Amino acid sequence: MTGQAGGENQRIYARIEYQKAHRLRFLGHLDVATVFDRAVRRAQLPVAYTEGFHPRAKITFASPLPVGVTGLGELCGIDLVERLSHQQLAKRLSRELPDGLALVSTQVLPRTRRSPFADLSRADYIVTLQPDEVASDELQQAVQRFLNAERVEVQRQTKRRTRTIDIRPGTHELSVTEGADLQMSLSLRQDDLVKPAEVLAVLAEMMQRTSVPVAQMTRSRVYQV
Amino acid sequence: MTRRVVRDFDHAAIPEAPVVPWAEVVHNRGQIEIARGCTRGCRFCQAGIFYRPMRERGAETIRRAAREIIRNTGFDEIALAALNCPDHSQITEIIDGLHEDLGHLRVSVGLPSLRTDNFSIELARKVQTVRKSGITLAPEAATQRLRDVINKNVTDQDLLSATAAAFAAGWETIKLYFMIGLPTETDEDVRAIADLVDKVVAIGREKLGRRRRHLRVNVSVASLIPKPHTPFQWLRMPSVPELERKQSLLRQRLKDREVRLSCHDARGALVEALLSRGDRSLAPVIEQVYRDGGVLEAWSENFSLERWQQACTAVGKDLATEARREWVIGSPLPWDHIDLGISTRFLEREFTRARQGQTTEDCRLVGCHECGLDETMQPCPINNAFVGVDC
Repeated sequence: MTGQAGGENQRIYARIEYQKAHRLRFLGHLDVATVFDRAVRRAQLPVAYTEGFHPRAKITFASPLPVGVTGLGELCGIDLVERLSHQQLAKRLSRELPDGLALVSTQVLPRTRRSPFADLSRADYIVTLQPDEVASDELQQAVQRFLNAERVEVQRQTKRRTRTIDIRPGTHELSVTEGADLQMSLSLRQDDLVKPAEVLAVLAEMMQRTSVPVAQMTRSRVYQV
Repeated sequence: MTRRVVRDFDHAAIPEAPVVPWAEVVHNRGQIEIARGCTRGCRFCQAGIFYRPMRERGAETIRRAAREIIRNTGFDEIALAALNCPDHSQITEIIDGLHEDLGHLRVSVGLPSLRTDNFSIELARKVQTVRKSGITLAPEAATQRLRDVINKNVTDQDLLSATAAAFAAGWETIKLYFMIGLPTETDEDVRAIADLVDKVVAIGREKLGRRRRHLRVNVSVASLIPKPHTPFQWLRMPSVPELERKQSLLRQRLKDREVRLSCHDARGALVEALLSRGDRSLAPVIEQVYRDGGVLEAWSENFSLERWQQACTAVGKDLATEARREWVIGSPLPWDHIDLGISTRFLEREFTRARQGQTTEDCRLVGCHECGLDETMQPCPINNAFVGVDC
């Protein structure tokens, strides 16, 4: 994808896969957006800006990462007003990203009216527990109970009210690895979304603990349909 | 102790690669000091004396630095800093240049609080082409007589036409700065603040028309603290009850839905006066307040006047007496060992003119008033550049 400009009305965007790790995993989602906005400006990339009194670079994020969670394959899209090669883009942008935010891959793609991330399906997580806090078979049993349950209900707070939600259908995978880490694959779709913290809370309850002692959580991959 | 003065401000270093915070902080933007010092000569203003003489950075220097700052930081705003930005002789050129250089990156230009004239509004209109913020005007006093005393050389007409221009340009919120406790001030002068605000509100209602329900006039009323090195340094600070009485005069009068009145806490002002006018014998008082738990006192819930009073009593001082002390001209002052290069005779002369209600014009426009800098700097750059004006 080099040089050639598309048709007049052909909109394009840079599809960016990046890591959010180390100290920067504690940066909130809005601050990550600001960091990208500034990086794009420093790189002087030909990006599209929003209209109005407070223009910002048009950057769409696939799915906000909870604070403290490391992301290995996070996705964002940056609308471009000029075509440039994905190599150029990667070179110029990666220079400007702070330690902790690193590019994994970049593509320059046609942009439709829909958000490029409208069809997210699920994400994989790895949860490392604090050593010697939870016995491996205790965890294994809780996981088994979770998987065997027909419904797993949690309370989720929305802006106005608290709803009871069944998180079992959206929990695609849940297992304990050989290294005694928890591995899960959870839905990102609106109708059966599951948050990692919700799974952990249910497991804690099953083990009759107040919480699962998490040492480190990583979102390793985000999937689109 | 003698103040050092940067003579060649245009070539003085500008921080072009400041730390860029990841998380949101205050002043989350690039900044360039476009000028240092001010020649307006407002008699209450310490910075106006402290940073004399007025020195400018050239438009080209500023543009180059701004491009550099944005390239290094990626900030989406560049704030111009000066005691009074509209006084920069190339201000229009600077703002247009910054838009030209940085507009395509959607970098907006910020201007701090403005003076009270149409030119300032015109500038504000220019900078809000990218982003919209509130607008602040600082008439400081509401009667011509009192403005002459403090040498704030603007008229009611300036203020009213500036607000009309601001409303016409689309602003819906205007902030007005006033002071109370000024020398020779009467209750009439204080009530005049309310009268002036009423006029601004009336103009706003008329100009905004159907949008009038969005109209907001924020009135901020500070108490004068007679600051060292100013023509008002000898003055007695008004008492807390007196300041509070004047504040309540305003509260009774300013009741319109569109008006928000906020008055600086007079007790806090008393402590500020104590700290800015005291000498080294205050050191143990400050330490005692700290030991008694006085930290972060700029937050009203942490502020305790009693704590300051007790600490003063402990070293045999009375807080109010100390903070409100009046000095006779000619007597030694606690800050006499600090030499700003400004002569005491100039400050005395200005103090006398203040009490006579006589103004002193900007020395860039009418020539030298012999503030002492011409001798200190040999010569003062402003005086050196002064060629007289054709009116």
